[in-house]
Amino acid sequence: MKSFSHKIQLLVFLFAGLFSIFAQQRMKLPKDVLFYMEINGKQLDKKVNWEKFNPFLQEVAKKGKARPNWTDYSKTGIKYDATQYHYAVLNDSVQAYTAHFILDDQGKFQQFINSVKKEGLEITKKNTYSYVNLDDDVFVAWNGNRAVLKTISYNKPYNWEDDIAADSAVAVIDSTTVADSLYAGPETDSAYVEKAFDYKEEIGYLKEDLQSLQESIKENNAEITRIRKDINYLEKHHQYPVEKKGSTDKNYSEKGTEPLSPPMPEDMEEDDPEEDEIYRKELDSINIEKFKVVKKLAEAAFDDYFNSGAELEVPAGMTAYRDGNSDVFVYLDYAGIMNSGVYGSMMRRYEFGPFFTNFYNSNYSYNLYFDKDKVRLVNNYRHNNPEVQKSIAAVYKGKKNKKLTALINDKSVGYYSINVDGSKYFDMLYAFLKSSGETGYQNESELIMETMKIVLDEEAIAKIAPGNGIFVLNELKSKTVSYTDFEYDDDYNEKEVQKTKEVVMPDFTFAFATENEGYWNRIFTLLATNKKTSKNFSKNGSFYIFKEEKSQGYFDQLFFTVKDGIVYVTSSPDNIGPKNQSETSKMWANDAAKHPSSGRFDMQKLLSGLEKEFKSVPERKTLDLIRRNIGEVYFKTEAKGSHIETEMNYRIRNSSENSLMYFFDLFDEIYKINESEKKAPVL
Amino acid sequence: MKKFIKYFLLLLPLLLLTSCFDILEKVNVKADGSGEYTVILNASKSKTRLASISKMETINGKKVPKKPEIEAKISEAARIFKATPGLSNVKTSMDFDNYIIKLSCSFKRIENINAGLEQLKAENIIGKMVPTQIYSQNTAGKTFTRNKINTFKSDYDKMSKADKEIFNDAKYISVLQFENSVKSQTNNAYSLSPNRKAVKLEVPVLDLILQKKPLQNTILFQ
Repeated sequence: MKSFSHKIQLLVFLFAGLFSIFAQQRMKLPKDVLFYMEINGKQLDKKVNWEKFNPFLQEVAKKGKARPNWTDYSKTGIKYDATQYHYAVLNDSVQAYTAHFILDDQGKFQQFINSVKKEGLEITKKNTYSYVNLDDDVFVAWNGNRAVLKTISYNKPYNWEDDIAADSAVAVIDSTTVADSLYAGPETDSAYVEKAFDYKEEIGYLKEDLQSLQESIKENNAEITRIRKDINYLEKHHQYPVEKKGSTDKNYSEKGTEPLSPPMPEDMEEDDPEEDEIYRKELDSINIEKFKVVKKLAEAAFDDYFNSGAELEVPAGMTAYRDGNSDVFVYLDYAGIMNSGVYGSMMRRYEFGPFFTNFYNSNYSYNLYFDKDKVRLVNNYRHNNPEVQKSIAAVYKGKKNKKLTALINDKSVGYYSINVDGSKYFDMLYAFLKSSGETGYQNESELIMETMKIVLDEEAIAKIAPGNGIFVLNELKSKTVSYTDFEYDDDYNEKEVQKTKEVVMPDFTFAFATENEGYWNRIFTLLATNKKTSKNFSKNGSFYIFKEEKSQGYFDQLFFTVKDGIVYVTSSPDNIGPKNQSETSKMWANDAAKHPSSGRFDMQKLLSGLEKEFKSVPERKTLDLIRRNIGEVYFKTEAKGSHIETEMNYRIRNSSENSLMYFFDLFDEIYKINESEKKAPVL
Repeated sequence: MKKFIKYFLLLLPLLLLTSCFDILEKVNVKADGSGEYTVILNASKSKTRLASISKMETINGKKVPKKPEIEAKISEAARIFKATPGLSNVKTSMDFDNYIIKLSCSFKRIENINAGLEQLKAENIIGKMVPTQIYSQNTAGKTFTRNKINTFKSDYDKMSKADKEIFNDAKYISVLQFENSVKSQTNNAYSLSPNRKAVKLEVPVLDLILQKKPLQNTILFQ
């Protein structure tokens, strides 16, 4: 019995040990990942029509070669129905994009890599994987069942402190050292610690500047030579040379018209081939150094990946809004993106930087679905500070207003509706200011907040416009306008003539709710009675009308009125009041009433209305294609728990097998139009 | 989503703001070499768009000039022309309802116009790239020359897409009228009037910028 329990214990330990080993072997996503994407291969693979994709990819990949490198992209050894992981790292010195793939045919994959890699590049074999660089900054590594593609760019970080204290000898620690520790590579490279001043690199930059200046001088010299030729010729012949029929070239072949070479600037020396060679070698040496750094980074990452399991350990916060049924999931660390690179460095320099940093301190998650008849994108926004997020969500909880949504109708081109709580805007602003952390102006900002609270009667302001509004684009109407043109008689004397043309005029309604009708009526009455404004602003019945004496713009007149708690601004008085609604438009209206933000645009109707604006043949060709295929956009936003969710639907309008292939078919047609235009004979 | 809407709304006016305009440059030369010069900028065809743009502060990141600023600039141009030796009878007219601006003057010799334009350039009324030495005449040799202009391609290439679109439908018309009859010309793109006393060239401004159509022409009189 003892021996049995001992065996059980051993088995438990073994399992626990194996579990812990596997748990350790899951590769951790690098800390400074700002973009993360999962491609749901199982679903997406079924939606790709390789018969259509292959010719297109071949055309794109062959780059002027007679034959494409690869004929069937559906068979590259990559297991397309497996999940792919993509992520990007961005810091002050390294920008890297990584993609993880599962392989189902290593031999095929190697053949594919051989077809795309540069000739002569050798494959490096390591203990657990092989790798090759496809370009100076693109590396691919693989073993029996998986592969990783890495694009890395390395640049010496810019030190803003240099601007302030150029003579400071402070050594800057480059973020690559962080990347290095993350990749846990056994070696440490001296290139990771930046030197105070690299004179070779500086020479490289200066030489680049010099080269571009020299090129500009060459261009100017060519122009000077040409002008001198003209002057010489004119001095001798007092006229330009007679052009040959069918040619615009001048004849400079006569003696004595040889152009004078433009004088070289005194301090400009002839190119020294020896110096050029030294310069070229130095540039090469800089590029080699850069390549060494990126190669080392790639190797460290590959070691890390192939010594771990295929699964990625992704922080739970990144995948909080991932839907397993979506085709593509994307996470964006907006705070990280805004804090990285040049922008981040700039913000850190300024005392008010924390305000902006706090404003951008958020993240976005996207779930993308390529459905049969529509593309669906669900976006989740979340501010990283729960207090700020709470105040943003509070703004998104407005009241319903059915009077506004009654303006939605089937015939309209589109609408955009908002139902927010205007009174919460101030709270949101306070939350932003309060959470901006310790800045040099903390006391000042707190005082401003207190003053604003005292001075502004938030409730009264919110009553003027509580936060419900709608914009409805009813129609794009045609308007005839006259214009002056010039015509010429037989002696080419010009004569002014009046002509007419059609222009597009939007017929729209903008309306918003108010709980203080008197305030708006007083404003409109003032505009209609004031000596200065009454020239263009008058009252007719219940409408106030804005009309310019010589109206040249798109609107002849604009109408304003206040009725039943709604302020209207419209291009026609007929637009006021509820519209006939079909079942579909009733659904839109219900959605618009329920959601803090929603809208719909029939792009086909919009483009039909704009038809008159497209005149040239290529413009019309592209317009016809887009108009045939363009769909309808419908979106709605709502506050859900700790995030703001926006769902956008783009309904397709052509016969493609699904919405993914719809985009391919559309791009393919545009590509064909462009190609046919390139090939069109010049008449 | 908000950004999508924002970009869409930004795109919409851009679609509507592609303008077109004509530039008419007319020279009337008498037998003694004196004459009249007129330049007309006609943007009347785009007046609906311009009326909307004029209410804006900026467009494509550039400040929209207000009516008094344009008037001041034209008056300054007229003042400079008046002060140029050989130029007289300088007149300007600005029709802001139809967006037509005219400047005309009399000259003793056509080269006075070149000098006037040179002065406009020196005073920053016209851009550095605008050609100034555009005409020359040899009364003894009975020739009148419309000189070649430099390419503006590199400046055009540096422009944003939205700025480039301004030139898409723009036209340039050059009319040269003479007291004497024209015997021949070197550029047949200029059409000759039936009475042989005028030539006219009408080209897209883009063709001049990209030097697809040459402007230079030497006219020989009978």
